[in-house]
Amino acid sequence: MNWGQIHGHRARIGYTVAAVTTEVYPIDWYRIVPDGVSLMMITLPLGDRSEKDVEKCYAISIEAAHTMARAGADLVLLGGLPINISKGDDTVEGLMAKLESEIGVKMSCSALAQVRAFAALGSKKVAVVHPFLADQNPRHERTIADFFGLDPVGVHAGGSSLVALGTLAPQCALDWGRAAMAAHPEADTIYFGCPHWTVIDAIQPLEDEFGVNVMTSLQAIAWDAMRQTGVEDRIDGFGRLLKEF
Amino acid sequence: MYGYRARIGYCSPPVVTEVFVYEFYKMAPPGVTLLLTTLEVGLEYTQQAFDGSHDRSLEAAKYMAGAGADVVVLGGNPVNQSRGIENLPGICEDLSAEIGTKVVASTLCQKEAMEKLGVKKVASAHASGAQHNDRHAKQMENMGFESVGVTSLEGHKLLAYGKIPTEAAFDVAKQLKDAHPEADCIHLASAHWPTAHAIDRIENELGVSVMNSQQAIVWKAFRTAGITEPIEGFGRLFREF
Repeated sequence: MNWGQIHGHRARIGYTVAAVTTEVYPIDWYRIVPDGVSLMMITLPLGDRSEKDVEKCYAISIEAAHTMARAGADLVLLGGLPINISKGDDTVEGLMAKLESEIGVKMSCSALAQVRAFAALGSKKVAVVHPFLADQNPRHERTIADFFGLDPVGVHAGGSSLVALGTLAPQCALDWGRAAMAAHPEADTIYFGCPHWTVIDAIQPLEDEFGVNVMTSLQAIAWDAMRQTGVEDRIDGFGRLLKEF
Repeated sequence: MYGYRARIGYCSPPVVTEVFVYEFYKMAPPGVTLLLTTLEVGLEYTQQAFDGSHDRSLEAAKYMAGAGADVVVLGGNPVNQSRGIENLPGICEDLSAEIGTKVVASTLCQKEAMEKLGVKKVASAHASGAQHNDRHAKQMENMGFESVGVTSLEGHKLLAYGKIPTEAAFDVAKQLKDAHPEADCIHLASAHWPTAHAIDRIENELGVSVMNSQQAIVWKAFRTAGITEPIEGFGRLFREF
């Protein structure tokens, strides 16, 4: 213990959590980041993902960026890709620039963190794994194709729900990743959407087993947040992204 | 799943939460997780913020119960006390019956912690500014303990509690004990500034019990959820009760 330091003595990252309550995210965050990188959170009332919920969360996210800046964050990262892009795929960078000039603190968001992560990894053909029902598959395919500009070779739905994400065992991500690769062996990247279920233990085993990239929302967000704030540590155990870029 | 032993729901009053989560995982044994919802207390402690936070706590508690929390903590001593301390047991019981999960309140956690520690004369340190000293003294008296002194760290708004250096907790505790040698307990008020690491040192070097809001909340939540083993490193409360 260095008694003269604050917990976030290297970087304090403000993050808006696109969920009413968060459980897995901070656990996995602190497993990934080095000592001295702390997480400041504001939870958002994203209930059933209705249009009204997303609209409300978009507005609160903007207000939250100002609050995080007042709280001394070194970077504010707006969570929730569907919220980030809800005003249109081409609005995200403009919003970040506008907020950055308003609050005087660096901005990022889940959507841009994942754009940068896909680019760093050189991904082209993406197999998506998400924990929700299959009715979410078209949304994921559309996002990969239209927002990220990549080829969505297939989507695997885990069949769970937002409220049950904390009950999923680490084995689920491993099994579902294997199922996605079995169905779509042409994929060069497995992408795990949603940072609120436990995925990070599956990253390295799947990269090793299939020789593909594995990119997850939380991994990309943590990576982008660190790199944007000058934390350049190469981190082992959670995939190429954190180890090589 | 991560929370295979217990999953603790916590309704966190500050609109931005940083330190609580960090220190929770210093204390929690493997298999115990935290479900967190942030509320509405920002730069000012207003009745409106307390009312809004209380209402959102009730909603969050329902959500947490639905997600499988084993116990839900209604956080925020000022938020809790704004409902009337005498009403808190009923609020917890009624909510528990409604959502089907155990419910505790921060104020009652702290009261029970001090009862377990057998303290009588409490000196409190907080970080919300000297203008809040009287409120802190009153809150302690409401809980049934003698407030022998209150002091505040200066220059830290609630939103910036994460910028309080870790040495501050011990330093302010020593100042308090020097100023109020009759105190048998140092109360580090608010669960959102860095204090967990200082508890043992204060108890050992100053010869007092320590009750810290975060420690008391986590302790009571663990015990309510059946996590009963002694935990070293965070004071007598966790070690002996």
